[in-house]
Order: sequence, then structure tokens, then C-alpha cells
Amino acid sequence: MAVCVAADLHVHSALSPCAGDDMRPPAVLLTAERRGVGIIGVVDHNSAGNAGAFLEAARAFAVRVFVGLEVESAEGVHILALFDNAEAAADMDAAVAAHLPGWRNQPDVLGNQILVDAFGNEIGCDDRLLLTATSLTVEQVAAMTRERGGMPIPAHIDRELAGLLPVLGFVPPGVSVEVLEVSRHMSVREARARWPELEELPLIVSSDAHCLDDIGTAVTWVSAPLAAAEIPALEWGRCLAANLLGAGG
Amino acid sequence: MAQSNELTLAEVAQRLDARAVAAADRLYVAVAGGLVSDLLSYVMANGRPGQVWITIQTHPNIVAVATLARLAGVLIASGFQPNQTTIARADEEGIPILVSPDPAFVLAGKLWEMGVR
Repeated sequence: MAVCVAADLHVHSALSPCAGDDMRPPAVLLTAERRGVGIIGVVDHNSAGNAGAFLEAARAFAVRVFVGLEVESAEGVHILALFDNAEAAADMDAAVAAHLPGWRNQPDVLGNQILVDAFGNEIGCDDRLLLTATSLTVEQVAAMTRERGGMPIPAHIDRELAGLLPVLGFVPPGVSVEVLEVSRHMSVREARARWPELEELPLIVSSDAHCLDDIGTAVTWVSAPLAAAEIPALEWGRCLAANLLGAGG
Repeated sequence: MAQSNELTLAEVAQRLDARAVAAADRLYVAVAGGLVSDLLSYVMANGRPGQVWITIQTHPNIVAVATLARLAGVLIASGFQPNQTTIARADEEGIPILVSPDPAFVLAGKLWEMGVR
């Protein structure tokens, strides 16, 4: 019985134009399982279109799956909105869709946006431009995620491209989140050394996988009881924060 | 308070036809150069006292960053509008916010023509 379980809470699917077309449920889940990653979070840019397929497929693998979106705020900051069920993810998806600019994707320049079923079969393409900022503020994205029982996690906060700290200078006091994500290019310790304000905050690291080979290249270790806890994502996020702080970060 | 030969933020606002939406009582400060960035961390690291900062960011954090760097004020480009929280904080901190429909490129060019360096 494992004491800790590896969690990679930031993995893209084939719906993200910048992710590989092979990022489909069976391949992603098999890769995670083989690499000993017990929990993944599957997100796409401003969409949760493949959430249901991943949740359905997860039943055949020893991998727990959170699903959701990586929302780009009006300020250009990326925030993960992770849910434990497809309905809440779809509800958030619809709410975010109303705040997209309404332009079309250019697959030849930006990449394909493939919708799949649980078996990885292509069932359609999303024609909307997803790789862009919504008109929602970071505070609104976090609040909307919580209202739907999800956990909001500012993504790769150290990255100049769409990371909370470079874009907004510091963590805005009005943003309600339990944990923040550091990119795989930096360790939690390095992040805390560079931004002393992160000292007391629970930080996770994730791979931000865009291809199969990225999966599990950065993980956060979660206690086995928490890994198995059947509680809503928002509550799970609170426990994860306590877990991380209890373990000294 | 500005010397008679120095360009003030009030004069800048007038010549750019920009509207002051916060701390309008603090416009009579000298403008000593400027910078353009939408990355707040860049402004924290590179902003210098007295500069006018051109940006399209409107988040309340811009007020804290302008305060830290002791900037003369913030000039929001391309018609972006700060929300009430940002305006209230700017009034509190005494950081003037100007808004203009012109894009940052045009605003920087006009400031340069006014002699702002």
C-alpha cells in the first residue's frame, strides 16, 4: 500500500491546439498508469470539451481523473479550473464560452482542436479560437470555479507567458485559491526563494503535458488517504493545501 | 510639485486628450520619462520614480505596482477601462490613472514628441 500517490494535475488533451493530436483518453491514461501517476488533471484551453470522455475512460485504468479547463483571464493569466464530475465541468465550460471573443481557430497556424470519445475516436472539431484571453478577471475565474464545486489553481505562476506572478506582479489579495502551481521548469524550493511571498502558500508542481512523453515529468505527492478521498474537488483542494503545508510544502 | 519648465501629467493628459479617472488631484507632478509594459513584474523591476506607465492592464494590482515604483501615473491604452476597485485603490494611494482610446504605440510616440524621455 503506497503512502503517497503522484499527482500531475495539469495535462492537456488533443482539444488544446498546442497539444499533440494523440493526447486521447486511452493513451494519456495508459501513460500515466505506466509511469505510476495515480492522479491526473485533464484541462484544455478555455474548454472542457473532452472531460466526459476522460472520466469515462478512467474507469478502466488505475488513475484518478479530475477534469476541467485552463481558463485565460482578461489579464492574460492562466488558471486551472478542476472538477470531479463532467456536469460541473460542462457548466463551467458554458459559462466561460460566453466570455470568449467569438473568433475562429486557425488550425494550420495554431493546431487542431479535436473532440474525442472515451476510446480516443475523433467525434468532432471545435472551430472556436480557444487559445486566447476571455473577458473574465482572475478573481471571477476563481469565484466561478468555486461556485461549481471546483478547485481553482493559478497555473505555472512562475512563467512569463501567462503566469500569475510575472503578469500581475504578485498574488492579488482578492483571488480565492487553495493552492498554486509552479511549472516543471522550477522546483517549489526555487520558487519560494525567488518569491518570498510564496513562503506560506501551498504549492504544487505539474507537467503541463502537451505530449504523452511530458506526462508525469513533474508531480506533486499526495497522501494515499487524500488520493482516494471521494469528496468534491473544491474540498479536495482544501485538503490538498493542508496536506502540502503539513508535509512542509 | 513640478518646476515651471517641466511637463506635468496634467499637461500630458490635456495634449493626449486622455481622461483622468482616478486621483485627478495628483496630476500636477512632473513626468520624468515613461515605460510601456503589460507585465507587472517588469514594471516592478524596471519602473523609475516619476515615469508615466503605458499599459492595457486594468487589474487593481497596477496601483500597487505604480505605488511601489513611485511612478507619476498610469496611462491605460486602447480604451481599456479600469474597474471600480482599481479606481478606488488609485484614489486611496494617490496614483493618477488616465485612459485613452489610442493604442500604446501611438501614446508612446506622442509622449516622445512632447519631449518625454
